[in-house]
Amino acid sequence: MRKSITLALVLALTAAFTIGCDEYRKANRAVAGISSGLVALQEANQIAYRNGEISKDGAELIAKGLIDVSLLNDEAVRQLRGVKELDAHNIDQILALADQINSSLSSLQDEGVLHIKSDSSRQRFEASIVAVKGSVVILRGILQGVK
Amino acid sequence: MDVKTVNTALQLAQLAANLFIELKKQSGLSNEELLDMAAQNNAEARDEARKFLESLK
Repeated sequence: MRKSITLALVLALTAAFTIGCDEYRKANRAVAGISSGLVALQEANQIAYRNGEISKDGAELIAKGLIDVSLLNDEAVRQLRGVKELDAHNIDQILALADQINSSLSSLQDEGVLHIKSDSSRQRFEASIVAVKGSVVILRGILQGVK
Repeated sequence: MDVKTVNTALQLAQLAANLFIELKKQSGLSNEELLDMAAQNNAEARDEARKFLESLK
């Protein structure tokens, strides 16, 4: 329920701010949103570890997973820089990257749920993950709309 | 309303406020600047994660 509210919130706010934008700009904003969320997630991971709310192994897994997602998102940024506008012929690779990012975020979410001991930290971590996933949902929606 | 519900509401309000600030900040940027910002944030998240992993050794 809480995750649905968070996702709805992210989608509604982002939609409100992208009215009138073209698809290319919306996609750029989505990858920027993903990247901001990754910074916040690593911060949440470090705070949880400092507070003794996550095991060393769990914190390591999350940090490594975040590095992987940031590299995937970097590749999406590189692809977007290369195309300048979106059309049915140039979105397949970006769409594949969005799928990989989504899948890696789901794994990260599972790691967090498994390893974060305190309820409040786990909820905060999950809300942050769902917020990043909201940007991925938007990116996939834009790309599928172009297709 | 119990404490858990209040905490959840506060966290959602905080998340909404952060998102609002982030989206407002993005709205004034060109496409190139948005992509630069994304690349910088990706690098920052990666650097922080690597430094953290080093500190755990």
